[in-house]
Amino acid sequence: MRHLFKLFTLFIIAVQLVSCEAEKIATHSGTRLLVSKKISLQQFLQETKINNFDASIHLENKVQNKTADGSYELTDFNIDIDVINRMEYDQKTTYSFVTSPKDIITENYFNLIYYKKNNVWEMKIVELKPNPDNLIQLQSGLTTEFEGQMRMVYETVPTIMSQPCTYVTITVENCQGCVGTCDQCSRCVSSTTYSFCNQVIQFISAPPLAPSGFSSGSGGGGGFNSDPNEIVFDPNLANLDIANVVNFNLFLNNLRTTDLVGFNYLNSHPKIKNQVLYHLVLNSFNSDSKIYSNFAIGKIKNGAKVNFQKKIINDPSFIGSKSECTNNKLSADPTSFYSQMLSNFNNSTNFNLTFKVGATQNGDWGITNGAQNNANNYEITVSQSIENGSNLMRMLTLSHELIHAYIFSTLETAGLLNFDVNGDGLLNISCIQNTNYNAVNLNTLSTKDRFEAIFCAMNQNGTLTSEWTHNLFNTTNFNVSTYRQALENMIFNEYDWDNEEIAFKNLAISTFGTNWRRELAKGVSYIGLENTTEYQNYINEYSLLPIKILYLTDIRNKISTAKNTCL
Amino acid sequence: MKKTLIVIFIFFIFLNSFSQKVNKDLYLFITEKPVYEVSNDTIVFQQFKIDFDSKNSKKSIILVNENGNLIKKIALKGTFNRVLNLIYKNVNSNNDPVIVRGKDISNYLTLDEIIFQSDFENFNAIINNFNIYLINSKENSDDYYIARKVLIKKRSGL
Repeated sequence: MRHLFKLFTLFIIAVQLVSCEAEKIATHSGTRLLVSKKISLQQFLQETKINNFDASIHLENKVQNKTADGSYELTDFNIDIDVINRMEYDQKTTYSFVTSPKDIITENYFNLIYYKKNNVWEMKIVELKPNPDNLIQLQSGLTTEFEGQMRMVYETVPTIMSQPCTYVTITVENCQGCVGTCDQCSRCVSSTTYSFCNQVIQFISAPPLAPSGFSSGSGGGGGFNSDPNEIVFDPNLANLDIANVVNFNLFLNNLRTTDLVGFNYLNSHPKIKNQVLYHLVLNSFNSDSKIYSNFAIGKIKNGAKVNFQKKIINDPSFIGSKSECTNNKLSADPTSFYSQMLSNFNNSTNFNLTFKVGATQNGDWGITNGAQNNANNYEITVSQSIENGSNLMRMLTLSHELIHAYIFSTLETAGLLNFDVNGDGLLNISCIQNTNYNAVNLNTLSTKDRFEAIFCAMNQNGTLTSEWTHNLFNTTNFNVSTYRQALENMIFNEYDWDNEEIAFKNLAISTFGTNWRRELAKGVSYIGLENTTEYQNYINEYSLLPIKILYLTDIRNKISTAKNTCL
Repeated sequence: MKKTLIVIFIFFIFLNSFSQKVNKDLYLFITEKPVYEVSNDTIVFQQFKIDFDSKNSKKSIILVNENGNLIKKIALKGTFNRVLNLIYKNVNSNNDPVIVRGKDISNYLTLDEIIFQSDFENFNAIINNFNIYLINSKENSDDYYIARKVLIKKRSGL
């Protein structure tokens, strides 16, 4: 479904006329140029000097306030300020916004248009409703002819029509047949003109396709009408087929029942509503996408920031924190070990992950919790002391907890792990008696059997303890390197050692010599694993090196003096 | 009268300054070897670990599977981080082991008494009020023991 959103933008250039005179249409076709450009809200406000702009509209002076069946009334709209189009036509400028009714769920599209008339900025809201079949054809590029209904919902200065007709030119832009990115698709623009009389749309003319360079002015635009207002309508029609509309309405109705606050929040935040819709459409409204959407709406209404694509949620406590800054830096490179771990929480899996800063039990640096009943919600909490600590402490804590989250999600998928009401993990394995798990060839086993064999081997060896979550960091049978080794490499390669505090660096250099970065990266990667056998083996490597062992056994304090400004 | 009051006040302050609570000694009898140690001519460093969950966190039941084989179903919680780390550090003989007589030891705990404490945090809080000495039960002769003064190191979990 994703391509549908990308492929298709429908530009409507509607010109409202006061009569149905055919010659008027012909007079203005094919000679003037349209230049359309997306701009920011700031740019819009600067250019128009409009100082009372509000992203929410309450209509008093409605042209029409009910649909044909009288089922709803449109009074309040939200304006999407992220999508603003400025269109220049014949040296006149019109701005258009995508809008959506606040409280009404509708499959129709709305567009707010700002235009200057008699030196005063006026506005109109137009509603478009393509016929279902027509919409599909438009989306697929099979036609450029609009079939459906259109109406003026609102205008600041209502036009008094001698005859109830409007002439409309619709320009369709899609990527059908284009080469390159969608930004280059202006060459695919074509326009068609219709008459809009008494709620009936009629095809009048199909001007020739605009040649390449349409937007840069090298060819004829075709089919533009001129009216007294020189209004250019640009509804930016999203691609929404009827099945999706029905499914979305069902989802919203269910939300209204289960979470009225969330439902109301969504209706007053159209941008987020669109994100939810996009997420659901991308995932074909499957059960997991609906569960996640409900979960995310609950978080968003409480101030969280949600990435629907990555299924990552930043709790309000995480937003703007140093921990968030560190997280952003670590995830900037999509090929990094950190990003790979993080990618486990996206639309390809059932899992989502929330980051927060807050209290942890016993002053733990960080903790990773799951959720009961296979809800697939994971949560990493970074303690306040680490939030206030050094960059190295935050880097280690976030990465360490992310490895936990990754391993937990793998084990939960394999049916070997579930979580209690507090989010604490409980490992459940079955080991066959009299089987030598140490001799099992793990490479031939499924993920579930492989993990189970490893735990059973640990049990046979007497090393299966409550530290199993950390023992897995050094398990060598899954990847080329262990999670611990990968963490060490990441810290070694990505940490900004050169800009560290002088005193911190000097102590490390005097302790470890020229190899101090690698030694420190290794020592830091072992933090949190101190109760494992692997850590004991690691520290015992330094049994003849008292200065190093004293440093490494006190490394938590040592790195607390490192730089703490995340830039 | 005024002078008398001032003298009494100063006397109380004086008394107070000498009545600070003095930690008593607590002897922990363990059989564990240090998890790691390092020593040279000037430094002796040893770390001991007492794991509170080593014996009571794992639950298992025996079942028979569909093939007639015995299987052990094991349930085990994740990390509790209920580990007591005890550090013995002796730099330039500033903390040499001491010899104590068994009958002089008034406060002591054995390993089993330690690890079966149900409230780890409470136990931590209590022993922090003592000078902790470690005694290896095997290192004794005629009721004399070798005791090493250690520091408790609590690590925050991750």
